[in-house]
Amino acid sequence: MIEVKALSKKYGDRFAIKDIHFTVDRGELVGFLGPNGAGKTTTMKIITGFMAPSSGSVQVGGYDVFENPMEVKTQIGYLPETPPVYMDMRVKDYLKYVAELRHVEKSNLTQYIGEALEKTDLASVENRLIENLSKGFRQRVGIAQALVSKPDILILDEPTVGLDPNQVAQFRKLIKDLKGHHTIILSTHILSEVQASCEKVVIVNEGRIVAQDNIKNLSQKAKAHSQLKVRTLKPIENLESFLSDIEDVLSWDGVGSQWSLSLKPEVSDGEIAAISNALSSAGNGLLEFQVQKAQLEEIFLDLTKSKSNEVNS
Amino acid sequence: MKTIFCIFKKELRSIIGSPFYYVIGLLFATFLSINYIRSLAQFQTMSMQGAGLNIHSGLFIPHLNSIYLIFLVVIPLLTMRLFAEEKRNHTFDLLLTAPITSSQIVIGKFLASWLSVLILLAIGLLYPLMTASVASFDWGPMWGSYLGMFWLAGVNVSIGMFASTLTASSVVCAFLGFLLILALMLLGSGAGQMADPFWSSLLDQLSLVTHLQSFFQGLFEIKGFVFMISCILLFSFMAIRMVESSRWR
Ligand SMILES: Nc1ncnc2c1ncn2[C@@H]1O[C@H](COP(=O)(O)OP(=O)(O)OP(=O)(O)O)[C@@H](O)[C@H]1O
Ligand SMILES: [Mg+2]
Repeated sequence: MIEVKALSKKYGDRFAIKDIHFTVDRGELVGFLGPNGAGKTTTMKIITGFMAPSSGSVQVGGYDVFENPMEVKTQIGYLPETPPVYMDMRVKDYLKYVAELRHVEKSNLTQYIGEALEKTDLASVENRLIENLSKGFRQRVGIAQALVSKPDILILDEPTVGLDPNQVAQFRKLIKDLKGHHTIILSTHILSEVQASCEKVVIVNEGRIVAQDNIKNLSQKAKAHSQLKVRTLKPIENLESFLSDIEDVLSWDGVGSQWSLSLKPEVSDGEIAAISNALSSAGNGLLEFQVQKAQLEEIFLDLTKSKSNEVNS
Repeated sequence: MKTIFCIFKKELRSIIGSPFYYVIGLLFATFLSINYIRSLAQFQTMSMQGAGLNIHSGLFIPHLNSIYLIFLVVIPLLTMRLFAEEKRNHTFDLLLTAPITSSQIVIGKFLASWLSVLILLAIGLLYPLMTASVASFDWGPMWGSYLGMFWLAGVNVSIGMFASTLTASSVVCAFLGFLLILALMLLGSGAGQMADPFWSSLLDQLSLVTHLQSFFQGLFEIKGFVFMISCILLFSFMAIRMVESSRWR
């Protein structure tokens, strides 16, 4: 459905994004994840035809964004970083304007606007001036605006910024409902957001893609950072002696009776059992023994950190 | 067409619905009233001295000149927000990612601002209309003059709109618009100073004032229309180019 090929964008002589490749299939929900300044907004602006790339191409539903902009734009609903609202308009009039700009049939206008208002929980403020709405409400008007023409594709740039926890939950529910009916790309720098709603994730850093996979595979790779937390009744004096003959422990850290051990990626359950045996037979009174598979969070931090170190060095 | 009308409606509502428009309208009417009363008094004394002035050149031409002058200020103020505001509020994103063309955006905005200026011009027409109830005169030159003002408003609006595409700051846009309109106004005044007859007549033909004056005299000259319409097309075209080019930065 969306095919991004070798996309680069230069501001002056600095690359904002460089050689971005990815594809999104129909009905897929993709999280576009990266720290501040990674190039998420830039990429989205290019996909929506707001801005031209320095090189590379974007195909949406078989059309090239720059050769057939009209065909592409009718398929896309876009929420920019800052909600594109007119302060001097009322919520409902604004949505009507956007719907008309997006060529919604006159006979469908009322229904589409009603549905957008309902999905974003805005019906109570439909006659208020946008100027008088709070930031979170304006953000919701922005989301409603992207939905109002019922486009096949939704491109949402940090959709939950400024929303309260209730609304974030509601937004996630909304995304779940939309999943399957729409193809969605959603950018964020908050990992839990991707975990909560996306099945596929593209991680960008410093303008390049550093990982792209579905959430399951990435979580599996998280084994690389598995941690073992140990708590004993009596302090362990010579942890090294227990662990010296177990090769899969990379490093350990802690004092007295609380320790945390880093394990090798390919550590097997048998090895973990060996550690637990060694600890319990030492007679210190094993109280806790917990294997923590690293969260996506750590992969994310790792991917984005190591990359920037590389760039700096 | 539908899209242009949609943009036109929205722009018109946002111009005419803003308090700013009423402030401008009020200033416009006040300025015209003061000037009208002054020229009325002048016209009275002059005709009592038996100068034999006709009412068109004695009363209405000064009135039209004051409209012409105040447009120089009012139009850039009305058009400054057209694009500058969209850029500043990030609503430009909405327009540029909607399935509409840059020309549709520009034409819609242009027509809405033109109409908002024409409403002011209609206020200006009230003065001769009121005068008509107490004096009779030849309406020919009057309609000619207002036709000229109609096109002049269009030209100035297209210039102001073009200026508004240049930066994201409304104030700077208004000032640029003012300078551009002033420049076009002054272009013809150089005509007299040119020794070379070729340059002199060229500048004369490029002068807004020359064409406006022939409208004021009630002459409906084709070249007057052609000049005005070309100006509107030129500046609208440049505005479209500017909107397009914002995609390439
Ligand atoms: N108009 C511009 N002129 C110059 N550089 C720009 C411009 N817009 C963005 N950049 C640069 O491009 C890079 C990518 O910016 P972008 O806005 O795409 O990041 P982002 O991933 O959306 O970040 P955030 O999470 O902060 O929104 C940044 O380094 C930024 O400084
Ligand atoms: Mg961003």
